[in-house]
Amino acid sequence: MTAEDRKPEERIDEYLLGRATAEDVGVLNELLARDEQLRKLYRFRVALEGGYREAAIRGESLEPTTAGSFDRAKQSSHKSFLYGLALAAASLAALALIAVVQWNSVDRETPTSVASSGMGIPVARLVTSLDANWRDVDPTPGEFLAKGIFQLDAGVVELEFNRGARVTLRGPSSFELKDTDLLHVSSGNLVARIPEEAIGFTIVTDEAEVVDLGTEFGLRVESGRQTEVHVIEGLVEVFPRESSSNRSTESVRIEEGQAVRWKAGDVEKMATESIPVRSSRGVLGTEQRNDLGLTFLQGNIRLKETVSSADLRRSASSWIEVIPEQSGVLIQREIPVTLVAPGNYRLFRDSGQVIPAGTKVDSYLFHFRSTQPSPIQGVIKFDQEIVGLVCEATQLAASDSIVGREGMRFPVASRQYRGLEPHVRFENPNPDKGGGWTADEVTISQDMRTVGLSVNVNPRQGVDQLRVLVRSKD
Amino acid sequence: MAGEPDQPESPNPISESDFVRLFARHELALRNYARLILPDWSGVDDVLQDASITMWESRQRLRDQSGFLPWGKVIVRHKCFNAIAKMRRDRLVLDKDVLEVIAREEEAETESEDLMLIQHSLAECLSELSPERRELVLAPYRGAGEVKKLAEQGRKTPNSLYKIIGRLRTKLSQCVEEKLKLELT
Repeated sequence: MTAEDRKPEERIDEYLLGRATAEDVGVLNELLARDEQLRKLYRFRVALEGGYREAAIRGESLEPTTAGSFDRAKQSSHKSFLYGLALAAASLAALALIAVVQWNSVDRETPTSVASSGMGIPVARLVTSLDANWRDVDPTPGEFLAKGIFQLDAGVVELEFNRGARVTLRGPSSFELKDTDLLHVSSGNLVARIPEEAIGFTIVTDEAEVVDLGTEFGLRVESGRQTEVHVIEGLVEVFPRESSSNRSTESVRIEEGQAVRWKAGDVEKMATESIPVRSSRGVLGTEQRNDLGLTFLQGNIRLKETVSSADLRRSASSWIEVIPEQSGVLIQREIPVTLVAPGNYRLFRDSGQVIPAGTKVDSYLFHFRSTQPSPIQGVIKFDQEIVGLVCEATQLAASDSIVGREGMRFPVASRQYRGLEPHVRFENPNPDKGGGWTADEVTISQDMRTVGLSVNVNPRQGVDQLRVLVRSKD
Repeated sequence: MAGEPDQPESPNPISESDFVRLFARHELALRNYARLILPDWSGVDDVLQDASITMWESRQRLRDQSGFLPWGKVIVRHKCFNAIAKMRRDRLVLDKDVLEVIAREEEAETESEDLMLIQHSLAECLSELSPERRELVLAPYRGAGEVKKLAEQGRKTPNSLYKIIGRLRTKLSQCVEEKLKLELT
């Protein structure tokens, strides 16, 4: 039988079995588009697919079945799937703190609390901010940003668009949030990371349109001069803005590991020039980690570069401060840590847990300062898996020299109260002892990426810190 | 998210136990719906897992139980097309336009009960085959390399076995159609 005289249903079966050729798919596209009966047949064959798979999973050669046994077989496969669902549900229920603020995809589309910095519909959220200096507005991490034009004079910010795209921008930058999947950048350097659900996210410059096809890429836009596109991972397609209706002939596809530059006025001809690709850090032109690696979901949290001596002496305001420490540290000798598993914790002592030698980690120091007797609370989500929390003062001191930031002053004098409390279980905590008024509390999510914190700091004597170690992606 | 129901929270949201019951009832239809769009089962498993969590998290928006399946299909459909956009880079997939028509036509139709009937009929038809034939026709679903292994055992080429599988599938399809006609009469 030749390829030409194959029946459509045979091509459908080949397709469903993953054996179709490009010709099969081409023919099927044509036939299915115009033939309703064939589409019905396709649906019927897909329904049978489920039966074949079920029979193969159930085991082996089928004996003649009754409806009852078939039903039971179905129930067993449901059970296995529902077990997975139940686990997800249980983890959500157990971590109510996190569930409340979970930034899930559906919520992203219809935010209920909007602190926009302009009029209109919120399209993105500011998730992290490092030394950001905005013109006219002053959004804090966690705030939604509405459609509108923004000027970032200095600093690094990370935005999460409602469709899931994450964009790190370094000032000075001028940009306009146009929609949940559209950003207009007139000037500035940025790195965009696009999860699956946000494929198609588009960044326009004054001259070109950069469409993401599932990737991580960087843009360096110098207004009126030149634009560079660096594809760090995946694929992007660049179109001249004026001829976007004629995309198939006038676009340029840029693959992973490639970078191009075009000068103002050249883009209509797609006269691009290949240049060496930069890493995301290189695109941003910063010593900071390119993506900061975390998201502040809730609470009074900010990033800082260090903790100074003055910071240790006084508490002028209540903050959880996060200081990115060393990254990509290969652990030579096991590090004692306090917490290594999901759960809700109110007791922080050395229980013999360690991060084994050979693990490569990034470190974040959390510094809690407060002027209030009430606990400081916050929820932080990390991009990478958490491998351990160091909450106990002796363990903190031991890990300072391994993963701590060089030149930072650690509160050795406050050693007794440096970590979280209590270290022993007791019924009625004495408010004059330890770092705070009530027990500190840490919740780690089931997926080991999110941490909920509720920490008491006695401003007269306590200096609470903890360290989060995540698996390095370097 | 585009295409997903953008409804406010329902004044009478379904309970957690109702959600689990409804999901169990409609899972087969949702799984079948995903398979219509996606080119393989592993993609279906991923999408269903992902969609089930999205559904769980947004269950407060579901107004009544009768809307569960259409609501679930919208979420599954959206997840499928997102997944497929990525798959296109390294495999052959039907055109999006074609898949959209197929998905749209399916939305008004198949329920889990219909699929159960089809699958039950197929099980009966499979039981009428010899054990060797059943083994062969189910081999592609038992993992990569299963057909090749059978080919080596029988000193045949995998292609020749796939031809036999194709003929058996046509025969089984006809068998199921006959049984369904009988069922309807």
